[in-house]
Amino acid sequence: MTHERQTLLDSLPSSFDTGPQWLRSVRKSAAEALRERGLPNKKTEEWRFTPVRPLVDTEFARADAEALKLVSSAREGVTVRSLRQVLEQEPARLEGRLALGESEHFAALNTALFTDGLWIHVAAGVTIEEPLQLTHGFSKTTEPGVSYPRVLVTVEAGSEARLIETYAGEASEQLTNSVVEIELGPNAKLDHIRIHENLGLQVGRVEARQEADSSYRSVVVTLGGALLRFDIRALLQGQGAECRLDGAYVVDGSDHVDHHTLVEHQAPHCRSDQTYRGIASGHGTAVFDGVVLVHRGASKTEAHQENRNLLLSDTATVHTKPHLEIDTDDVICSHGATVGSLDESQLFYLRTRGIPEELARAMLTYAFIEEVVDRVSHKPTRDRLRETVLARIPAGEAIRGVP
Amino acid sequence: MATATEPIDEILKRGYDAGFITDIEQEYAPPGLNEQIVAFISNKKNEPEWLLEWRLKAYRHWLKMKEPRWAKVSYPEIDYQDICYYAAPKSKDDAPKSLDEVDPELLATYEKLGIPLHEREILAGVAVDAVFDSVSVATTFREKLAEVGVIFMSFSEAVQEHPELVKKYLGSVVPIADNFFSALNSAVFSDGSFVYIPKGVRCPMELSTYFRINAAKTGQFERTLIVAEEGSYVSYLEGCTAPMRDENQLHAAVVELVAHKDAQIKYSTVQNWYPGDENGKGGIFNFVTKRGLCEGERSKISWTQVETGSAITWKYPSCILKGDNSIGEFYSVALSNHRQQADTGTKMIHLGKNTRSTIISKGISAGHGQQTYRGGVKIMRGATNARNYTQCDSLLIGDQCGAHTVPYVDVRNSTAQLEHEATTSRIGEDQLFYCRQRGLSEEDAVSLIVNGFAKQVLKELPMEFAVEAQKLLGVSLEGAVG
Repeated sequence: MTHERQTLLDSLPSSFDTGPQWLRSVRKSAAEALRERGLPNKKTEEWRFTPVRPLVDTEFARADAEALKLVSSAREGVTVRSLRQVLEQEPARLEGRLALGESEHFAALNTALFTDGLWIHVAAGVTIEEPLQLTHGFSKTTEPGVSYPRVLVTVEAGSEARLIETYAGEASEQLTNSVVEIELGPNAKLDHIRIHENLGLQVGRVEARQEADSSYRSVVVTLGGALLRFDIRALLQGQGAECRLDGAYVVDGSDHVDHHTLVEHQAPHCRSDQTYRGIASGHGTAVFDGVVLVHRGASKTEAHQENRNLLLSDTATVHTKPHLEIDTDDVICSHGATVGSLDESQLFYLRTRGIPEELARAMLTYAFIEEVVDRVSHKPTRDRLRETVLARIPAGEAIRGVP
Repeated sequence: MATATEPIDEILKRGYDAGFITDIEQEYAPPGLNEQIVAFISNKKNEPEWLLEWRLKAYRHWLKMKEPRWAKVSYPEIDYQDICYYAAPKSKDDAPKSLDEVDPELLATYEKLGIPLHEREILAGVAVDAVFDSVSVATTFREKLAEVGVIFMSFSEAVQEHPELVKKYLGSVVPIADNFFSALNSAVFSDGSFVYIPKGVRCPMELSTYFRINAAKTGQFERTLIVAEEGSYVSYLEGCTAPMRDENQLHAAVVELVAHKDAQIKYSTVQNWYPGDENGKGGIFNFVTKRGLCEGERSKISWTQVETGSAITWKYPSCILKGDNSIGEFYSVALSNHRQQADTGTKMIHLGKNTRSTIISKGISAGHGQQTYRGGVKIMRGATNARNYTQCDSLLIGDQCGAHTVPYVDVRNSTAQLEHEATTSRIGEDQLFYCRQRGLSEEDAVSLIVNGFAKQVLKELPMEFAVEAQKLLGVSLEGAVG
């Protein structure tokens, strides 16, 4: 591992000589595709509203140490191994499972450059009550550093698990380019909570591949971020699979957060729901881009998507682009998006009940994203989130502690 | 209404009604595009120096631009050097003074299309400025309009008679370098319509133009400019049909609207150009730039469109809401059947305070048709209390078609209120069952449901257009039911 500083593209090696043959060729084609296409620029549609230059032009040093930590203890039915170890000992087990890359930008970079990561494997037919908790930390360097956390989560047939990921830190110079791949076997269930807090530069990618009758529930909570870009994808590949992607983001100061969701209905009889809520104040910018893709033949699809934004200052900006692409007719699909300020009549109602204006505003503001925070199924995490969200809302202090 | 009762099967057999070719000697410019051709067009039309300069400037800009490829449509590469940029009926030099002087074959063409000019003159009270490939052949009712001071004439006449107005407004809403197709149009536009409504005048009749693309391999480059002075009102209808041709024809029009203080412009389009055959052979490429500027306070611009034709539609009639309290509206029904592709929508740019906009878009896809709604709503920093409501619904008929919704919402003012809703579904089994149970045949039921789906938009059309539009929906849905 080198520690010299290079731009992301320059850091791609010219050849890949370690690891199993299949991984070398996956990395090679990802790197080749990247070199040919380059990283996105401001004309790239998917990056239209998010300044990509700080990511592309900065020279970073590799800083992978401490990047990933599993907090929870071992329990039956769950095996957690380092990716490096599995790649050395039983490389065949991972073949075809770390494939994400060739057609991507930053995920391709991760595929080409990750050195280690975690494989969380949940055996068939078990129910794991206690959540698996992952934290992503940052090594404290003074110069810009980049890390490539990589996680593979496999939940075998009929199992149920819960995963909580936390990305937190104040290191504004650090770029985290993470990829989390999730495989859900038939009838498997995963609750996935992901928290982004005070991040510097963050590019994250989650992809869930779902077999028949599996269920994937994701709640993403983003609290600020100098430059955060998060992509989540659910690929409904087996009949009867369902997913629910929820998210809440709060921006203030000069934060810039950009959430992209994609639900691909590839099989019939699948269902998807998405609810993303955002609050923008200060000079913050919030971007939402959600796509529902219904493939030909994915009949009896039901897909709903909703994005609501609360704009609290005239210097903040909201971009939203809910987007449907439907290639078959037997579907029920809808999407909705709104941008607005607090409802004056609701404020008035609370004021007539004797609630001071400041408190009333805080209540309505928090209520706006409470629906999403409430979907966090793990109570301790939910309680903690509620406190942190309130700390970020104008006058939120006033309702802290109120049950 | 004919659609509701006419069995679909019969309509199916009818094919494309407007598909015939008029044999009139044409005066062509040689194919290709260079500065000489631009000068040739300008010279042919006896244009003043400044306009030639303007065209050349546009041409030079165009050379530097790239054809946009972001729309969700696919079509073969267009060879811009293989197109004739000017074609006019030969009888142009001794321009007809009245309908009697008009080439009878031309008149017969209109007759077949169901636009009997003289009848319309008397019965419908509509002044028709019919554009036949590029040169305006007959303009009716001009005198009556002149009485109230309304100027309604072909663009080339306006250049000769009212150069100061043309110079003032040409390119003021759609600048030369706006986009690839508008730059191309600015360089080679052949003719179009010019409307000027003076202060406080309510235009006494609906103004109407019929366009037809006739000669093979000639692109038609219309330029329409409508200016409504303070407190005036005008309703403008545009209808389009083109004869059947195997090669794709290019149409790149530009429409500019300017509404001053308290003025209102209502612009309605029924577009029924040749969509190509069932396998996607032939058909019109329709790349149109339409934009309205609500310049003054309380001005209003309303776009209504029914798009059933063209192989490719690339069209986004937009409003710039600059004046305080101004209003922009967009009502659209777009239908794509067989291999048609439509990427259409609108852009509402809110600049002034208390500006409001409404977008209602209904897309119907059948066969292998591809339909995209692409819309943009922008609320700029100064647009306090801006309001937008957007609804775009798609109806799918058959499992080979596609419907896509791509709205962009961009808000920079916290007092804004924006709502966007979209749904996609097919004709409900229960709806069909209900109609069938009441004794309607399946075809009638589908027609009824489709018309009901589009009704919110159709009711915005002027009466005579609404009837035609409903008929068109039925015809264009041919073979889609099953």
